[in-house]
Amino acid sequence: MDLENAYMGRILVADLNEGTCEEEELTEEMVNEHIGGAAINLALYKQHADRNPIVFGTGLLTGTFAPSSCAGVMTGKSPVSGRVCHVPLSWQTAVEIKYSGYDFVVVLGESEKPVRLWLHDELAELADAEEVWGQDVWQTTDKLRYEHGDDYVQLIGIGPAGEKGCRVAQISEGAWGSRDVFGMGFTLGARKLKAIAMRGLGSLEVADGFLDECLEVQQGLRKGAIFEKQGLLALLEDLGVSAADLEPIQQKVHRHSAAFNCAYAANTYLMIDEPPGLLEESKQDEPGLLLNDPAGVISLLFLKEGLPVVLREINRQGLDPVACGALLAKEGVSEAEEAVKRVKALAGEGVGLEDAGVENVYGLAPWPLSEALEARLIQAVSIFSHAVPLSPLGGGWADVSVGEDPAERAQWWLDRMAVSSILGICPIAALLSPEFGIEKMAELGAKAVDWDGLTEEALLKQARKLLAETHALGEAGGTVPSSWASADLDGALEKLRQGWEG
Amino acid sequence: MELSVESLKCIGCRICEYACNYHHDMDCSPNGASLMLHRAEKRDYFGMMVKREKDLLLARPEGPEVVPPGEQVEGAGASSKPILMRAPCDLCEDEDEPFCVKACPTGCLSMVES
Repeated sequence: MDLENAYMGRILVADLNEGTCEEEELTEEMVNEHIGGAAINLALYKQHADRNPIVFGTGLLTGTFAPSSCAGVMTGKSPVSGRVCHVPLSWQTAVEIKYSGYDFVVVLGESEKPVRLWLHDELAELADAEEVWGQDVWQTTDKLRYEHGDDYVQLIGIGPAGEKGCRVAQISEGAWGSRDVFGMGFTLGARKLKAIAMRGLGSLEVADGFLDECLEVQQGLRKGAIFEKQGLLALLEDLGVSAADLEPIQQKVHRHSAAFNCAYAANTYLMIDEPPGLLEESKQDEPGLLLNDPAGVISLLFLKEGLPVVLREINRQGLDPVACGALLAKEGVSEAEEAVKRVKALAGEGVGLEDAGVENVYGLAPWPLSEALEARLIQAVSIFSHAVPLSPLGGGWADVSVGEDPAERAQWWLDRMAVSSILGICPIAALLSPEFGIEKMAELGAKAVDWDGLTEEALLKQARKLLAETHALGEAGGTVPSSWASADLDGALEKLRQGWEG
Repeated sequence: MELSVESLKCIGCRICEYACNYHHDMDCSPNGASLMLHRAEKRDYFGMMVKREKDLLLARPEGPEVVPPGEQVEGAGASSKPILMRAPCDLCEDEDEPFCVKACPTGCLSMVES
């Protein structure tokens, strides 16, 4: 196995109680047993379980030439579901973790004072964060990038919501939100960890022929119908949102952006304070915001033209937009100005959705739009973030050879999420193209590190093991709303879980 | 033939930087690439910079700008300066097609007649 083609070979253990950073080796034995990403995260979580750890990890293919290899994963106990969960990291953050010199970062315990972790070129430092404690996500991002003298420093951090103990506080990736629906912003805030910043000039070796094979896969992906368009709004249309509902924000679209090495630009910038057709650099510092969360946007569509302004505030406060959308709808708040005030107040209230009387499953707001049983199954499982769409994109279930059985559909999604979180492939890309299935991902992984044992069967086995072992750490707490409760749901859940043990 | 950059097709995925670096250094990183993405993230302003033999091409969204050596560029921050120290683009002279053109998923980068 050529590990230097995939990993830097380092695990960082940051102890917030002691204020120390220590390195451990990422061994070939660990990779052989767990492959990478969420699976190694979980092994590290269990190793340090008595210290309430959170683990930030990269996949086997994160940061390589493999298409859509932008992803990483954060593993920890969610304050809202009460169980261990795996949150996808995307944009540029996971790649920068690896290139800063570390494949996995384990954070233990709690700090007495606000701190931040700075990773750069195989060096790690826990530094004081008093200067940025209390600042919103955008202010924090600007300040830390300025301090480190580099606009390309990437950050995973929290805003005031996480600092103040709001249970629907979300981790942020740079200035933008993330796909965290598990309240992991609360988890960082509770241990006074304001941010992890990273920047590095690392590099990976490359197997002969790997680049060519990756480019061939990328060209195949681009033949899918959805690639005739770009952007988050095209994804939302694919999910069934009407053009009429999207029109108020469609008018503000500026440009579309992709995460690292992604052929589909799944992020769309909306101009709020400048004309959307502006091509020159704006003289304003913050003329708009980047949409990167399909579920969050759908949750807020009822705000119509007010959506961008409200979502901007949600981003700044470091809140989960899905939860905010559910709350605002429940309270009948639809005017932008009032919604912004409510969002600011929510960030400081330290409450969960139950306090606001929002019906939810296991403490989580339901995925908007879908009442399909497979969607409810996925949310009831509560292991991977349901901010990622819950069905194939750019095609239907028939295109991925999955029938009508809800448990089979839920398992298809769970398998895709598990495999993509182990390899470091963008979870949205894992839904986008039938051609980029688990077999093809396994082929690329095997080629990358010269590992004959990394077959589709081995990858799927690791995925099911990840599900079983995460589930074994504890069921999600909470109750199923009466509108959801059914023998069908219980029976299908049991069928799923038996499949993981098989 | 020369490298053309259609800036509005760029989606900022950065695979071109990594592919270019692979041509120079045979590893996976952006550090030795002859081109580099400039991004002012919160303003959604981004485009490629290409170090050429005799100048620097800034493929701005509003239109290209060619900068002779030594000239100051308005708005250039510390993060953009590393491009000045890179090897100039050689159009991957030993290859049938530049690696960046092969890797670009949108056709932003292409080869055109000079």
